[in-house]
Amino acid sequence: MVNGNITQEFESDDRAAVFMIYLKKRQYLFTLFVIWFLLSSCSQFSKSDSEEKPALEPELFNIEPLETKNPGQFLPESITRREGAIAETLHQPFSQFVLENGLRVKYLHNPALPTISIALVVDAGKYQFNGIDERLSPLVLKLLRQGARQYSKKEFQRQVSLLGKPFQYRQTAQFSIISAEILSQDLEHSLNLLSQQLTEIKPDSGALKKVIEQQLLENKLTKSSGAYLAKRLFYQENYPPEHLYFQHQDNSDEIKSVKKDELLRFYRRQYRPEKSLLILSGDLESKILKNQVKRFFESNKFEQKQAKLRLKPLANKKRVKNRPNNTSVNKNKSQFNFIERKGARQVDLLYGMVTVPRRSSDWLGLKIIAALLGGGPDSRLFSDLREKQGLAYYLSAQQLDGRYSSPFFIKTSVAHNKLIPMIKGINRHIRYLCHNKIKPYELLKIKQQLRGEIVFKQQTNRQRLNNIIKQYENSLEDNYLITMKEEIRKITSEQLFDIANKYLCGTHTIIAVGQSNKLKKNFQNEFKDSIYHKY
Amino acid sequence: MIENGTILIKRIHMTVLIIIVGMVFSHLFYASVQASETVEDASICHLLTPEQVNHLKLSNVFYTKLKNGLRIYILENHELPVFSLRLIFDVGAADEKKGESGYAHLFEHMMFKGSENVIDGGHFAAIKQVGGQVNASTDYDKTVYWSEAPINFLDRVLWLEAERLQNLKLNELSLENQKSAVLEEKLLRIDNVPYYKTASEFMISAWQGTDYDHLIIGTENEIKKASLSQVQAFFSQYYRPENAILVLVGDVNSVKAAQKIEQYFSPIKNSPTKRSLIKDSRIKETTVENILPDERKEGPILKGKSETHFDPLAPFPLYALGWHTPGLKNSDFYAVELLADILLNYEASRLKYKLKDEQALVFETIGFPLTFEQAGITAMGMVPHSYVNFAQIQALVRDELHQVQKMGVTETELCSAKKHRQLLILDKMSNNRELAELIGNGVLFFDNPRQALLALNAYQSVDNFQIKAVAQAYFNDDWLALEIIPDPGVRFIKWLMEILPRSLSQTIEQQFL
Repeated sequence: MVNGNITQEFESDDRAAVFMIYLKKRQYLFTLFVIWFLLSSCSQFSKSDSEEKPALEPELFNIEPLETKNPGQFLPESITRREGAIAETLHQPFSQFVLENGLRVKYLHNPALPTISIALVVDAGKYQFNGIDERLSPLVLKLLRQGARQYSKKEFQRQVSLLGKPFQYRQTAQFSIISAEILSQDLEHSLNLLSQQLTEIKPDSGALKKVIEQQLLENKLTKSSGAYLAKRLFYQENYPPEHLYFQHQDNSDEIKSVKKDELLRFYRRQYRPEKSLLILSGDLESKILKNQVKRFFESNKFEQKQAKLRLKPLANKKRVKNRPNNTSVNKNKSQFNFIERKGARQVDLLYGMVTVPRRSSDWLGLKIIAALLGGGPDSRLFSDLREKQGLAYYLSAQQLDGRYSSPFFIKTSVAHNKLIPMIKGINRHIRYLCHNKIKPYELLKIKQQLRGEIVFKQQTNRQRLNNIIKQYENSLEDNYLITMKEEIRKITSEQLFDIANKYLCGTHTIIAVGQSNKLKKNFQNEFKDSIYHKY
Repeated sequence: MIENGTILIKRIHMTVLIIIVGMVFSHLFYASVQASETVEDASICHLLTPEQVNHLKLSNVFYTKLKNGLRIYILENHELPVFSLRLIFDVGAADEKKGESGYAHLFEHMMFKGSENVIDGGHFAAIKQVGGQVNASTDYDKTVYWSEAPINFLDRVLWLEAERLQNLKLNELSLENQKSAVLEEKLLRIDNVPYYKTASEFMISAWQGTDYDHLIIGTENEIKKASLSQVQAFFSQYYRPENAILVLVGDVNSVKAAQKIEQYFSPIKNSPTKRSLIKDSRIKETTVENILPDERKEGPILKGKSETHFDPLAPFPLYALGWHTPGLKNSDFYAVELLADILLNYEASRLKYKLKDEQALVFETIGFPLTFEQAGITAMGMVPHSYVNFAQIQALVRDELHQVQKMGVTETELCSAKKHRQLLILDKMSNNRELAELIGNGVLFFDNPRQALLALNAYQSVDNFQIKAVAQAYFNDDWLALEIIPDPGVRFIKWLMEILPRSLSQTIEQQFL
C-alpha cells in the first residue's frame, strides 16, 4: 500500500510535468478558455458600473389612515378584568471574579438541569478598524478549530467530541465567541479544552491552507444570498471606510496572501486573558469552578504574557478615540439601488437608515418603533402587507444595537411582480408614522410586548449568557435589563413621534436584489424621487 | 540525465525504506497511544447518571381527558412566572389527498384569520400585546399551534384557542390573501435558496409511493386551486377535540389549570365528518418499519437513486449522499441516530474527517438527518474539490461503511454520540416551549408524555452490536446520490479538472477560488 501510494504520486507528478510542457505551447488559448468558463460561473456576483439616473419629480403618496381599531377590544371583560400587569421577575445577578492574569469570570448557579452553558468571549470581533485586521479576525477564529499546543486537530476535535456537542464558534461586531453546552460532570474537561484556545495555537501550513479555503468558500456562499448582498451594500454606502461598521471587501487574492505570522500576531495580540471574559451558567459549584478556572487559565504562559501587557477591564476599554459616530455620507435624496442576482426567483428588499448607538437615549424609542412597524405578526407592516394584501411572507423591522451608530432596517422578500406595491406599501407606512402619533393602546401594546420579551429572555442558561454578551457588546451596565424595563414604562407617544421624525422620515437607502429583466418596464419611473443605481 | 535518474531511484528506495520503517514504528506507537487514550477517554466520557435522570422535570406530568376526547397534559415549572401552551392536531402533509398538497399548511395560516368573536389578526395581537409569543408549524405528521405569555394571561390564551376551534370564520378574501402569502413563503424558503429546491424535490421523489411523496408546502398549482369548501372540510375533519392534544407547561397549579382548560374547551363538539379520520397507512406497508430483521435481507422497498441537476442559484457544485432510514417509532431509530452522529454529524465524525482532512476530497461536509413518524432520510452534503468526482467520494464512503458494518465503532465514538443525544434532549428541557414539544411528541407518537426520558435510556443502552446491525441494514450503497451543478459550463470545467493531474487542478483551483 505504501509503495503503491508513492508510485501513484510520482506518476501524477510526471503527468503534471508533461502537461505543463503541453501547456506552454497552448498556454494562452487554454488560460483564456479556463478564465472564460470560471468567470462565467461567477458573473452573477460581479459588480457592474453604477449607473446614476436623473432624479425626477417626487411622487405624492396617498397617506390614508390605517385601520387603528384596538384588536384587544374583542376579549370578554370577564377575562381582561382579572389579568393585571406582567409579574416582575427576580433579577439573578451573576457572580464575578478576576484572575491575576486579567481573565474576568462571570458565573451563575442554576441547578435546574445537570448542564452548564459556557462562553469564552474574546476581544476580536467581526468588525475591525482596519481592513487587514478585519481579514485576519475570522481566519484566526477558524484556526482555533485546527488544534492547539497540546493536541493536533484530529485529537482536539476528538477531545471536544467527548463533551457530546462540538464547540460553537461565532463572531459579533466586537467579539469572537467560543461556546459550549456540557453536562455538569464535564466542567473540568471543557475548561481544559477552552483554555487551550486561549493559550497557544500552532497551525501548520496545512491548517492555514484549510482555513483560507473555508473562508473563501464561506464568502462565496454568503454572496449567493440576496439578503446578504443587500446588507453589505448598505454598510458600504452608509459608513465611511474608517468606521468600525464599514465592511471591508477582500478579494480572494488578499485572503490567499495571508501569512501564518500575521495570524499568529493577531492571535497573540487579541486572544489574551485580560481581553477575555469567561461566562458560565448552570449546575456548578462556585468553589470548584474557581479552582478549575485557576488551574487551567492561570498557566505559566499567561503569566509571561501578563508581564508584557497591562491589565485592562473589558467593559471600560475604548478601541479608538474620536471615531465617527454617524455616517459621513450626506444625502439629500433617498437612494434606490438594484443588485442583479442571476437566477433569483424573488426580490430581497432592504430599507435602511443609520440611526444611533445602543447607549443613546433615542435607541429605545427606535426599538419601540421597529416593534410597532415590523416586530411580529400583529405589527403594522405584517398585518397590512402580509395578512391583508398577501404581498410577502417575511416582513420585519429592527433597530440594531451596537457601540456606534447602528442601522434601522426594514426587510422583506417578495416576488418580482409585487415589488412596486410592496415599496409603495412600506413608504405609505413610513409616511403615516411621520405624520401621526402612535395611539395610546398601540403604545401600551408595544410596551407590554417588549417587557414580556425581557421576561422570556431569562429562561435558559444560553439566554442568560447572551444577555451578558449583549451587555459587554454595547458597554451597558450590569442591570441593563431592569433599567430597560423602567425606560420602556416611561416613554411617551410624543417622544416616539419626535424620534421617528428625527431618524426615519428623511432620506433612506433602499436596496433590492433580484433579476432586473423580471421587473416591470416602468419600474424606474415608479421611483421618481430617488436616485437609481444599478449594481 | 541518466546519472541523475539513478541517484533519484536510489533516493526513492531510501525514502521508501525510511517511510516503511517510520510507519511501522509510528503504527506501534500510535497503537499504544490509542490504547492509553481509550482508558483515559472512558474516564472522561461520563453520561447522565440514573440519579440525574430521576431529577428531570418530565417525571411529573399531570394528565386528564375531556369528555369530547381532548387529551390534556400539564407540567408545573415555577422557575419564571410564564407558561407555554401547545395545541397539537394529528394531521399533517402526509394526510393530504392527491391534488391537495399544501392544504395542511395553508389551513394552519387560515387559523389566524379570525372567528365569530375575534377580528382578523386579533389572535396574534391579543397575545403579543401582553408580552407573549405565538406561532404555528406544519410537518408531515402534525400541525402545531403554540403560544406563551406571562402567567396572568393564561385565561386569555385558553379563551382564544377555544374560540377559534369553536367559531372559526373563513372567507374567500382571507383565503386568497393567505394563498398569496404561502406562495411567497415557498419562494422564500425553497425556490430562492441555493440547492434547496433541487434537494427537496429529489428527497420527495425518493419517497414516491408513500405519504411523504410531496412537499409540505405544496405545489403552486394546487395551492392556487384550494377552495373555501375544501378548507372548511379539512377543518371539520381534522380540527376536532378528539384529534388534538393540549400541553401546558409553566408556573401553574396542575389541578386548577386543568379546571380552566375544561371550562374553555369542554363546550367544543366533534363535528360530524364524512371523511375518515384514520390516517392513510400506505407507507407502513412499504417502509422498513414493520419489516422483521430477517426480512431486511431482501432489502428495503424504498430504493436508492442517482440524479444530476442544475441550479442557477448554486455558487458551487454540491454532492449529497443519503440513506433511507427508519421512522422515529422504529426500534432501530436510536442506533441509527447514534451512527449518523458518528459518521456524519460531528466535526470529528468519521466521514467528515476522512473526506475533508485526511483525503482532501471536499472543502466541507454537513450532515442533515431528517426523520418523521414513518420514515427518514439520513443525508450528507459535500462541497467537492474541483479535481474530485462523485465516484471517488462514493468509493471512500463505501469503504468506510463496510468497515463499520464489519467492525462497529469505538467505545469512545459511541459514548460521545450518546452524550450528544442526551444533551439535545436536556436542551429541550431548558424552556417551557420545548418541554411542551417533548411531551406533545411523546403523546402523539408513543402515547407517552415521558417518552423523552425513555429516549435517554434508549440511547444509553445501544451497543456496538446494534450499531453494526443498523449499519448493515440501512447504511449500504443502495443510496440516494444527488449532484447539483450551477450550470452546464461549470459541469464541463469540473469534468476537465477531474481528468487533469491533481496537482495541476489544485493549482488552478487555488487561482480561481
